[in-house]
Amino acid sequence: MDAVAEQFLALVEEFEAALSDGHVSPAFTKRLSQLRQTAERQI
Amino acid sequence: MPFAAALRKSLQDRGSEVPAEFKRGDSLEDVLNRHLRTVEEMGGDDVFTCILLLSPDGKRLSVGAAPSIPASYCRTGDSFEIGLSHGSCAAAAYLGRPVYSVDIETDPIWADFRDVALQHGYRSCWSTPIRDSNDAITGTFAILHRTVGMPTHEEIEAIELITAHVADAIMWFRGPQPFARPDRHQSGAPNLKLVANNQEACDPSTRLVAIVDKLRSKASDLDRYADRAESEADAQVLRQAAELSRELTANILLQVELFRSEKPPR
Repeated sequence: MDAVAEQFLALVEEFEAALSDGHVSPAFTKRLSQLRQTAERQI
Repeated sequence: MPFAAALRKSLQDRGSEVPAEFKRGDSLEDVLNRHLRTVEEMGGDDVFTCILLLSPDGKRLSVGAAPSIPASYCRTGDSFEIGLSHGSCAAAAYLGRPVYSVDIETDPIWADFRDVALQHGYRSCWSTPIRDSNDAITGTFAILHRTVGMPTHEEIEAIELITAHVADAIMWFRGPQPFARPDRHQSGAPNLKLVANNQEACDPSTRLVAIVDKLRSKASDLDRYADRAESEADAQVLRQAAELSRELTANILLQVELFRSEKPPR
């Protein structure tokens, strides 16, 4: 679970680094969905 | 007296003196320097603190107080842009969340200021935004160390306590206004030292607690991003991300409890 958390944190930090773009990218949405599914399998 | 109680008592004593100090004409720098000296005296030999103040346009930080940091490193009035390569404070102000640089020598956030920091012997820096009663960032509070390391959970609570008192002093100076914020000083009492013990950073449960702290911080940030999102679709994705952050937090906290229950007492 901590590995998923670290991937999630990295994803959010990538998102924050691109905050000036002003929108949520499709890649972020897709990766978030994948991480959620991984987390749900482990919970 | 345990460290936590002693720190809280010292900061409360300092806070009670602030109105009189301003009324007699002391500068904000004088008052903040007294706050920081109180922290440094209690923190030990490897605690160097500074407060940077954010410009009205929110783009630059300038030195507000740094009682033990040499002027060759930073002096009052010096200013620089916030961003992701100018050190922990610039990043904390830019991101609106704490930034803990465990090793300045390798942290990309220090790209532009790395050399000067290392020349002065600083190896780690933990910076936290200072916020006013409207939750707007007014500056940053940072602790520099000559050793690498990340703050423990208790040290983070101590930093929050200190930052709250610093914020009150700044608001009083700029207001003056009553200390209207919910009484954060009474809660979350720190119960450990300020100086990092790097052995603790190697403890698996300490690493998990650090992840939990980050997840909690990210959940709040994501809520904030959602509130400001350009579209409802974006806001929904960001709220889902915040929710996942909280779910991960809950599950990792369970792991921490399990780990600690299995660990023999020391």
